[in-house]
Amino acid sequence: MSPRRYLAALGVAAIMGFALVWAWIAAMPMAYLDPEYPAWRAKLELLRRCDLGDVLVVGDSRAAVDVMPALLPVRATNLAVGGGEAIEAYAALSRALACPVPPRRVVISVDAAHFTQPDLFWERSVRFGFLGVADLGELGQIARQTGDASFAAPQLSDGLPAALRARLYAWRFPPLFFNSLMRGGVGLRWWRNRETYAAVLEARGQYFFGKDAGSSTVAVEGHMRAFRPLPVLDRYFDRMLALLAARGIQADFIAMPMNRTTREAVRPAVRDSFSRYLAGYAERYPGFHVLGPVMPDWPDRYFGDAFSHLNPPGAARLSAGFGRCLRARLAGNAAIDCVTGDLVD
Amino acid sequence: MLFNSYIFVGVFLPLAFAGFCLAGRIGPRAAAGWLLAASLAFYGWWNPGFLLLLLASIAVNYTIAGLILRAGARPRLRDALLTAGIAGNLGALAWYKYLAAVLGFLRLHGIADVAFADPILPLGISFFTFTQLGYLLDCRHGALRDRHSLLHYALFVAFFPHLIAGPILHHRELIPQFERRAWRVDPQDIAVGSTIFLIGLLKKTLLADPISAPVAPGFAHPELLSLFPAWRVALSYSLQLYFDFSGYSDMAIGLARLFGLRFPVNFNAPYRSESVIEYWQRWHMTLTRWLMLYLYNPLALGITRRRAARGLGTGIEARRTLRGFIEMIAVPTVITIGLAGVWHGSALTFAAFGLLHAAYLCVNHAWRLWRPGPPSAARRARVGRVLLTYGCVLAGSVLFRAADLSGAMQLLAGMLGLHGVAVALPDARAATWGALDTLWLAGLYALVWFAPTTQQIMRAHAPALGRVIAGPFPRLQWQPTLGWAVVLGCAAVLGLLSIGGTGEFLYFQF
Repeated sequence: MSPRRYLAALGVAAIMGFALVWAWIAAMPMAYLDPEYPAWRAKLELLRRCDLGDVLVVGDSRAAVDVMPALLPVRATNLAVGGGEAIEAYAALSRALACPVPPRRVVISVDAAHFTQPDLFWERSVRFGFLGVADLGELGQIARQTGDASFAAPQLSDGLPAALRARLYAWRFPPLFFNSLMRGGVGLRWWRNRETYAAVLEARGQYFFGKDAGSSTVAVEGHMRAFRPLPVLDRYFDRMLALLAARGIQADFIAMPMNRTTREAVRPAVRDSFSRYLAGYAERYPGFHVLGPVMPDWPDRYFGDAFSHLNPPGAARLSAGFGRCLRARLAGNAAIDCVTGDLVD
Repeated sequence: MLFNSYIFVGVFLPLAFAGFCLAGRIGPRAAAGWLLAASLAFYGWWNPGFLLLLLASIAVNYTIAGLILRAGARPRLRDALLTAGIAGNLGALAWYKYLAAVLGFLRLHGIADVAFADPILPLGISFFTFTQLGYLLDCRHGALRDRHSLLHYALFVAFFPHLIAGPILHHRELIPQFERRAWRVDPQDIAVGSTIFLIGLLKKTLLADPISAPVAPGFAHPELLSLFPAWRVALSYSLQLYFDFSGYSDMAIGLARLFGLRFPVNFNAPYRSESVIEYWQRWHMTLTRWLMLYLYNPLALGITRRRAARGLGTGIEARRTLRGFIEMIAVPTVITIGLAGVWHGSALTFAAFGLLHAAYLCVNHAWRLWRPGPPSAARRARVGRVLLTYGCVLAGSVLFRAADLSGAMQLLAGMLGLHGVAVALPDARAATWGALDTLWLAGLYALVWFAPTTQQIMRAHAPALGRVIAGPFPRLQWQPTLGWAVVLGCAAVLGLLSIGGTGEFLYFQF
């Protein structure tokens, strides 16, 4: 074979191989993506169906784990996601509010750290398709307005410009998914991911991380030196509240509990700044209420991992109390602690 | 810019190659000029500021080389110029690489307290400095009569495939290729070059990177490693280093070949060596050659001449005496290999690595001089020698990678079982050592010890400068056939797809 023909054959083989891999990656994400993907996919499916109920929960992973809609007295949906911040919450809300029957009440729960630093934005929110190219275009604009590029243009190891990376994720460009493909044994995660997907749909968005019988590890708040919200997250939080206010939907901020060890490690200045920050928004938006303490704590035995995610007994306990609170809120009675469900004097 | 990055594979290389094709039609100077411009862009991509350093280094060394050659029969002036050149090069190297560490050491021991911010290390400074030092030394010692053109000299120093992590080239092997070539693109060169590049890319992305998972957590907490985890960490690092660096060298050789140029071989199955002397002839061969040519040989020659002047013996019998051995073998070996260790960095671990290998080499030389008979050719004896050599190299690689001497000792203690016996690594990311990990390690050792090397696979097509001995499995020799095209086409897909999750080459830090 002449070198020219050899090179042509090599090129054709490479293009065909690449096309095959790309087709698999684009069509079968459930077959190889990591085990959190089906939970996100289930939430997107609930949104697509507009099957949301009266109460919508948005926020971070603690909210995703701790609030079990199946145990609540009203029909609710948990759209909180791992590493979720105001950007993801805004995206979920804006889609939910486009549904023919929007939720009557929205519960927002984001811990203090998720106002101050990016978490799994590109690795989860974008990669899993929760945020699309349009969302990222909007983010780019807000980043320019606020001068905060911490989400829109971080220096990631792939060296890609953010706009291009957003499109490559949207197109499921194979190199960005290849690690998962290998780790997932090309298609070996299919069955387990399908099970998870069905379970999360059944649980109306709730899913667990750690299920240990207790954790005394200090979570992220215990390591924070100060509470300084990122401008871009602050802007998104404001947009979210403005959107809800414009639609006349009541919004409650309910902080999820952290373990007692973390609570003891939290600097008072961090807690006070976080509290003041939320109080400022409560003053600005009459339909927005901060219910209960901004950093509640529970005994360590209720936590399933190092990130202060509740374990199943903890989540059941919280959801029972949360259910009593919700019923009271929907009935116009505000005197219930939403984390414990106890009456407030 | 990394060879295994989208920007390199998808943008830089196609542009550089297309420009080279067009420039080649204009003429050799245009082609060389284009390659130089592309190489400078490649270097400046990471930090444009350091482009000035590279250009200044080229300009100063080229000027000094010219002055040395013009000094003709005035040896004192030539020596003065050479000394100035060496001082300038080593001064720059010391400033960026060693000064902060030395001052930190002095501060730590209360000897001197001079404030000095650790500067960012320019990529490849050790490589382009040594390349140019070799050129200056050759000018001084008459190996060069006329200075090459500035364009060819600059391209010799800055040609992007070898610029930041070698191989360390000698002007005699590259510049004549610039001068002779018609600078036309040859499909045969593209086929051979792209195949070598692909093999290197696969070594990096599919072999070196996946095996690295336990390395960082293991070396971060060596005191927690018991027997099996300590071995796993050390073995994984040893394999990672080999596949990473030899993969990089393959990629460099393949890239050069795309442009019709041949580089020297840099790795020749070093872990199959039957002695540490042989190991150094097979590992980072162009560094060893540089050290032999410009450091060891002049030292050994100087010592031999001094002994001869004093009426002392210089032959094999003289080497068999203790004094003769120390003077003629041990001293040049310890200085050369000790400096080879320090060349890698300012940490004490690198000095210890160099001294350990110097000790190995001295023992090896002594054994050759005093052993009772020739080495056995029996298979079992050869396997024993390979394993003994590899064990020595493995201990050295622990020193090479450890953050400090105490960490290295801790890991070696773990390998000796002094931290007990357990299977789990201290970091959850590294998980436990399962059957798959064992199989994977075994597979990699099978490649290292039994598979043909890249050069052996490509042997029929003169892949690099120098002779390549035939390897095992002759049927694995590459030929431009449909089967190879399909296999390498699929391998190209794997290599390119792996780019998203890979990291920097280990040798960039040197």
